[in-house]
Amino acid sequence: MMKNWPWLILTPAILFVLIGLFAPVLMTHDAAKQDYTAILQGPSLEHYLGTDYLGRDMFSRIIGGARTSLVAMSVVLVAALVIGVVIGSFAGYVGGRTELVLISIIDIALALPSLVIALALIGVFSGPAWVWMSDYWKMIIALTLAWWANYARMSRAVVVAELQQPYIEAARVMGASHLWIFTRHILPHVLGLVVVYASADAGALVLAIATLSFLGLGVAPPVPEWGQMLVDGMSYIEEFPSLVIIPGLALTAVVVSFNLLGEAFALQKVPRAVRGGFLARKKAARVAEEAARAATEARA
Amino acid sequence: MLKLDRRNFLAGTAGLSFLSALPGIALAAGHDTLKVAIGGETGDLDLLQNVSTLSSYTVVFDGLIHYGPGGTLVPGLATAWAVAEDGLSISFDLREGVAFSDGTPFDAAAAEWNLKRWMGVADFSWIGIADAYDSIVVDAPNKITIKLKRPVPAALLELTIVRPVRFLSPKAVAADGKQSAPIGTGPWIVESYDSSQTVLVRNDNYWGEKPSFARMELKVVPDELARANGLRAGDLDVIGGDWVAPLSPRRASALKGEGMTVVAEAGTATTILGYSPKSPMMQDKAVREAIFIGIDRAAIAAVLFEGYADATVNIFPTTVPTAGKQLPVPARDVAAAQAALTAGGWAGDASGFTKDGVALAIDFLVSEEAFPGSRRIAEMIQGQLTEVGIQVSISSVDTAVMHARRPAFEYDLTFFATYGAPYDPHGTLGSSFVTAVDTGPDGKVYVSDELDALVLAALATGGDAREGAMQAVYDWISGNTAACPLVVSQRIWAVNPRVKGFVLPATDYDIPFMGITLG
Amino acid sequence: MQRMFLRRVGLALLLMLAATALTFALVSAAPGNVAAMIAERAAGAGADGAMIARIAAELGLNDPLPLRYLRWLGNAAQGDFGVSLRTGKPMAEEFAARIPVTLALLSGGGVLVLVLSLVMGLAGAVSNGGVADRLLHGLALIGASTPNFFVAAMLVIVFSVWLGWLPSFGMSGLASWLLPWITIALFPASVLARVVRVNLQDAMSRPFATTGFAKGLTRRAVLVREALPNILIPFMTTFGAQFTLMIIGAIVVERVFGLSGIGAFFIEAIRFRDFIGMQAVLLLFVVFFVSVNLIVDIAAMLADPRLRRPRKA
Repeated sequence: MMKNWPWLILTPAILFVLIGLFAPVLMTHDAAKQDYTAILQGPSLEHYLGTDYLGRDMFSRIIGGARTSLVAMSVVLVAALVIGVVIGSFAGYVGGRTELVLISIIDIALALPSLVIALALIGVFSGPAWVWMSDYWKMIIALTLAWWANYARMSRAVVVAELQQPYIEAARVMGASHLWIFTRHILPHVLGLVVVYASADAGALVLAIATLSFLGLGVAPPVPEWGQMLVDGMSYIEEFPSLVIIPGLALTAVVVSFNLLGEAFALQKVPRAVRGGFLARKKAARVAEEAARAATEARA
Repeated sequence: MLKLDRRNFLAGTAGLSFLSALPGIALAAGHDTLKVAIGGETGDLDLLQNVSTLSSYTVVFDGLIHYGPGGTLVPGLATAWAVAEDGLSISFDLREGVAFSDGTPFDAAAAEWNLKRWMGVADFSWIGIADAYDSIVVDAPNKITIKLKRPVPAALLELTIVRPVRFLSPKAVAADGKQSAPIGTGPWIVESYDSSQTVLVRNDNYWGEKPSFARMELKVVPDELARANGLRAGDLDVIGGDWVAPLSPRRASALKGEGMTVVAEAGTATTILGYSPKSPMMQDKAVREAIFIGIDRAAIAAVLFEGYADATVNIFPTTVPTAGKQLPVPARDVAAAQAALTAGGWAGDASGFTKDGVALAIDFLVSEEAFPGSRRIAEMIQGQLTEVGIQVSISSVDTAVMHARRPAFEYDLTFFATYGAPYDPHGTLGSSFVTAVDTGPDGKVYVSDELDALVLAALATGGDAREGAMQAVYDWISGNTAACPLVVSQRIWAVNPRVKGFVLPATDYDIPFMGITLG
Repeated sequence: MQRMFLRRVGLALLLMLAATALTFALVSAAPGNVAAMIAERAAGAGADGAMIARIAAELGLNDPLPLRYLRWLGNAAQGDFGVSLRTGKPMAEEFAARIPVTLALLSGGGVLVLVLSLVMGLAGAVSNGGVADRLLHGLALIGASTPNFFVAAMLVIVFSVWLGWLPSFGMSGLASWLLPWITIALFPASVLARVVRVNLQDAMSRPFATTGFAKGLTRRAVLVREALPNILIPFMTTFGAQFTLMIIGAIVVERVFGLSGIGAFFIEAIRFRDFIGMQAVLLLFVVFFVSVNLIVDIAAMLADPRLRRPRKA
């Protein structure tokens, strides 16, 4: 199955992850080091991408920004995925009133776009009771709380669909425990779909993080972050547009690479009907939904 | 105030077809219209509410006395005034033949009615004369006297401020006493206002020199780049002014290079780094000194302000009355900063200092909204102090958190700005350096019992002794390294070349129009 | 059929109610002193403790949360959304002034999305694997990956700073809306163009397309006459989803281009912790989001008889 998989497509995304992981090694300068004798310089052998308004090395800041995005994105993705899978699977597996309540909560959480919820949460977290938490973690928690519901809905749909399969009944008859049935038979299916979705979702998250920073609700200095770099660069846009263009291009490149990845995954892992390129994550959700609906209708 | 009920609201929103929903289709602006950028909508210009932008009041409403260049007092609605020997009464000769733009005459009765709306009212006790108010006596149809319970040396300067002291037509209030329309005696009349612009027309019955053009549009442009582009494109004629539509030094440089006229003058407001008087770390004078000398003020002025600021270590610049003796700005000295720390019992080097097992790490409270541009200054200071060996973490918060944490002294370092003309020096000293005065969300630059006594004494001192008493305050602050002044940013405005005769308005709360002719 | 509709509408109303309750609880739970902020607005630096306590009592801020929610909802139903803590104006007034702006942005952007996505999708399908198809695929991929604030910045650099053709801010005539419309439309148009392209491809392999070819129609004719009507439902549902997401675009675009709409207001409300403003705008967003989804659902039901049968989910 993976034989003619377009492995090349992984390269940009892997490159981003590697850059993020090895950022401290790759940085040629301290990303926070200011040098007033070298402000707003063009590219040179000393500064590959030039310097910003405080004389900081743009190349190192871009690399550092990759790490900031990577860490925030991974934490949110993993946390949202775990929360979503646990809640969604539980709802689907248990059924009954519990399921109804959980589904309602999920639907309410999906009643607004995730980023709007994240924005509102950040507004809430900005209160005096939360001062002990850094802006970075506020952003991560807000995004996680805004992001899990999609995974929960998907997981629940898959669980409900799988529960209809004859082999589950067989396993139950043979006396397998719920935990065994769930982890051995159902969880792999859930994860299979959810991970596909997540791979394309990574791009959306990188965008969301940058957007929050752009709106002034992201990381605190001196941590380099692309959205923030772009805002800072806006003041210099007439004479030094590169301060805006460089972080903007970095951001676009990463999102493109994750969208490509999502597309490639989708072509292989999900049924033909779903091949919608980078739309895969939306379609995958719908396919799971349809499967669940068909299953419940069969049950009734 | 316009109150919408549900039916109106639904009809108003649902009934809008797509094309008519394109708001603000441009009014043809002729050669007789000056277009000035404002950063936020003007609002209803209610003189008693702290909502509308201050600058817009100044063109509509007059005060008894106006603030002139360098803190001189210029006759406004009063042609002459006299403070009694004991300082307990101030009498005014009111300008005759003046009427509000709704035709209501301005006379002693109108003046008394206006003054009583805020004098002696608790909400305005932050104004010295409002707090010390005793009574008002109408001596003649054009003469009134304000009686005070105690002398207020800065009384005349206080009467030059914008809100709430300016004069409203007594007919422009609703039955409940709330202002119903912005009707003043000033050179301009509000024709309309909404969230995108405020349109002003010339008051042809204005008592003073009338503007040379008939119309002024205050365009709401919240974004600074957008303002600069508006100026380039000719959509705006004038941008700038800290309280009108701030123009950044960087943008000013860019605009200058493109042939726009940039006008800059020494400013009146000082940017001060405040040390929390409640923070244990900041109670250590060695830390305060290390920060004081470890910051590169000249670099801040040169790099972030592009030269449109003057480095300082004084609370007030000489553009403010009784600003005191000006101390020279020392060059940044990392070694001296580290030496100060070592002398204070701290051990370490540029990689960090400790004392009794506690690391030298400070919390820098910053709010970009409350103080635009401060994030970048903080970032720069963070870098400079890190080189000394002081770890600085920046808490970037919104205005509301700033307003909660600053008065509670929940920070180590944070930014303050002096009020500038026409409020200083009494305004900033009397509120930001005195414990007893409740300044609400603004907090205090520094307070201590010793300082309280000095400031209160200085503010109560009038006449020739005032200068010496003020100097004692300034000396105490610098002697104790109680505050860390950074720079005085210049007042920057940029105008389209078609605007001739532009001069900076007296304060940055004023909108420029005087002397301007349009080409 | 009718019962289905009623059920749908009822569910949507329930969802709105639940979502507003949640947002109300969320925002109210925020630690922050609304009374202090009101006092500050009224008295500037003169606000003191007694004044704050008085305002808190007047507003009933000490009442239990459910009571406050019901009171708020009751007032909102009568068009009273409270008074913004930031601007000091009634929210109904803010809405009346700002909703038209956001509506103009969304509708202009929406029209652009429809046109762009159909043109791009159809052109791709016509080219079918050719250079144009690949180019358009690449373009759509980039369009769906570029942050809208970056798009806005680039458009401003090129059209306002370098060329000086279009205004970079404000609401001064049609020209000033072009850049905001392009910015807000690029992302959804790219996504939707892919939906059109992929679904057209699917449709072309269906029996009716084969019949069309058998009748001697050209590929282009089959595409337009036979395939295009068949992608209506996925097109509509995706457009609906993307249209609601344009609210996020509006938040960014209004801020960048200085449009005083609801999105710009929302961000300012968050940054100044104008809780009353936040609550009112979130209510508006919930209503918008749920209504658009409802309309799309009902439209899809009307368009496709298969979807009309009741579901037992």
